[in-house]
Amino acid sequence: MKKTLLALSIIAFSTSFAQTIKLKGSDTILPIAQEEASVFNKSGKGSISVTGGGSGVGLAALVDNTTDIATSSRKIKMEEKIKFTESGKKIKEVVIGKDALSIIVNPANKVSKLTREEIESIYTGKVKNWKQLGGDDMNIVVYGRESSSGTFEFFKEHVNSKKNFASSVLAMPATGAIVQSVAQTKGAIGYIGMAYDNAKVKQLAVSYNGKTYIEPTRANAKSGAYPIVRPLYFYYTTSIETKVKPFVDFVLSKEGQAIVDKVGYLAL
Amino acid sequence: MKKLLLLTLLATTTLSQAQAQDTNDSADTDKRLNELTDKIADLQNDQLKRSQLKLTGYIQAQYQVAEAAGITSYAGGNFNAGTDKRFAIRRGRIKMDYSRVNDDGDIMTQGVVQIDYTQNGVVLRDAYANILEPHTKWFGLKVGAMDRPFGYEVTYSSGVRETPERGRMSQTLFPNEKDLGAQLYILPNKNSRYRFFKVEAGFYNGTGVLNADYDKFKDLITRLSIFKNNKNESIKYSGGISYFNGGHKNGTKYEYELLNSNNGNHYWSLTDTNAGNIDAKAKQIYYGADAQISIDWKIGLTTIRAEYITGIQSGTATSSATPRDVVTTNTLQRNFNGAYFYLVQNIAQSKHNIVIKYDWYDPNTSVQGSEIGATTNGTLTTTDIKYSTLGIGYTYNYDQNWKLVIYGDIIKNESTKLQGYTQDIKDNILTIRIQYKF
Repeated sequence: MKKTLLALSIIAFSTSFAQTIKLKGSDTILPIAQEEASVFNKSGKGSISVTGGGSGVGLAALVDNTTDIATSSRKIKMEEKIKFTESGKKIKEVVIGKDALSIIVNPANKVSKLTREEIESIYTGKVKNWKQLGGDDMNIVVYGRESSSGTFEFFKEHVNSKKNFASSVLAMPATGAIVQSVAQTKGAIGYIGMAYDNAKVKQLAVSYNGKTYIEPTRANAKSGAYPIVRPLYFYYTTSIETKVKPFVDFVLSKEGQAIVDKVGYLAL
Repeated sequence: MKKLLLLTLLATTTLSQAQAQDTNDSADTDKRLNELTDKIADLQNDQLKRSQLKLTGYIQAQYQVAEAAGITSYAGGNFNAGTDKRFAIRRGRIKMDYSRVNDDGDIMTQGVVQIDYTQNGVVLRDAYANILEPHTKWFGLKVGAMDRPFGYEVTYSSGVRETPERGRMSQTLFPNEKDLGAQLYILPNKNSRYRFFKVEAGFYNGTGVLNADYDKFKDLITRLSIFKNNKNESIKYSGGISYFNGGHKNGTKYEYELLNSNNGNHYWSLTDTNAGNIDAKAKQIYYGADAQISIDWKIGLTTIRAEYITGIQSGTATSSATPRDVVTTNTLQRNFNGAYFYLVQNIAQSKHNIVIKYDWYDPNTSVQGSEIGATTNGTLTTTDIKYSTLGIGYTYNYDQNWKLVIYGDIIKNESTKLQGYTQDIKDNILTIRIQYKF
């Protein structure tokens, strides 16, 4: 009897272990992945484990077989594709939602809108005082993400015209840290995923044509009027498609997309 | 009253004991928490050190079939007399890389040692230290035994290359690829918008990593390369230009020049016998250009590479290869050129790949094949023969560790008037290789 129980326990353990789907990568996607995983786990359809680390870290883990799904807030790079080819792996890219980046300042700041060029001039260090942008006479304290972050790369390419950040830009390890720092620093500015927005910071309207300023609302982001929007990706190898597909399908389902919305991102 | 006093005393004592116990517990918890924090910090430091040290390598075991026994070969070395089939460990590499990387992923300091273990023994491949200028993170210095920064194929790792070997040209001009020297480089830091170019310039012994230098001449090697991707990360293109200005001590006091005879055939003519010539420099000057493109599309990843090198090479009557040791015979300077073209096609994003490569190396562009062996004085030799190679191969990337390569070299030589080389010699080779990378 004991042997039977032991055998059953081993089988049960092995089964549950085999069905665990590992997700690793983007810190931006972390809130979506965690919430999706929580609902999926409760449904009894399988077991999901989620960790962050950055988009690049997730894709490297997928090459090394240490994750099943790489989550990424940027498109896979050519160098990474070549590594997959060299490893004999065919990968599949799935867009699971979208994210809008908000430019945030301290609520005490008078400035409520900026053009893309003005944001660029702040991040490249050309403009150093809010007075130059119609605000109070106070130094601008600039916050950004670390370079391993997909959010950093997206912001640099799409908002900063690929220009280098000034050395004075403070690189934060996570989006939450930017929110906290901007909330506590009167002259601060930062960029965050819209889902991280809260009342302790103020979101700025942004203009890409120098005339029309668009508020970073979900409606504007969904309609395409707000310009700083990016897709969010899952990447997995086709050899384990059977294993990961139930979860990917769940995320793309009506229920899964409702979670994307609920967490503060943009459903497809 | 007594009872009340007794109760009060008891309560006070108990409370005091409880408070003392609480204080003790709190201090104990704090102490344990501090110990735990210290232990976690130690573990984090250990983990950081472990992540800074990387041990990688690969083993290439292969079986080769040659068209004839005892042939001269650039596909892993000459076949011994009487041998036309062989097993070999072509490469057994272990690389230790200790790198300290900043938050942006720039390697600030690095030490690398790479050893090659095969049936032929154990030899050093790399042993260099690399340091990045910490302020702008654009400038670096590399010293020790390292790749010569010339062209693309010479520095492209054998662990990822689709063909079993580098071409005849690369092996002739840069035997063992590596050399001892010091190199300065400019590479914009990872956050720079200008991170699409690299400039490398260094001085090297010219004798490779296994031999000490034997003359006063150093090789200057420089390369400017660019690398870019298109916006949607589906095309990667790169290229470079390289320049080599070096040489080695003459083998003897005799200097020769290639002249034209009355019947139009070239021959080596003795032009100078000054005793001081033996210490003069036998010139090696190379000019190179290379280009690569990779396209990711529905039919799979397509990669095309090309490289062309021309210049002056000093060798001997029996070899046009860059000498690794002191030369004791007459030195001859030849104009040369060579090139290669790769087409690597992944099949529909699968594990299967096809590779086609064509290369040539003409060690003496001044002479035609028909002139070789045509004269008896100042004669041209097998060293002056032009070779071209068509390589066709298949690779199967089973996973990130295992790779199978089946590759055929179809080698053509110029027809000459030399005995044994009046027509194409039998020197084709088939290589079947299994690689395990870790």
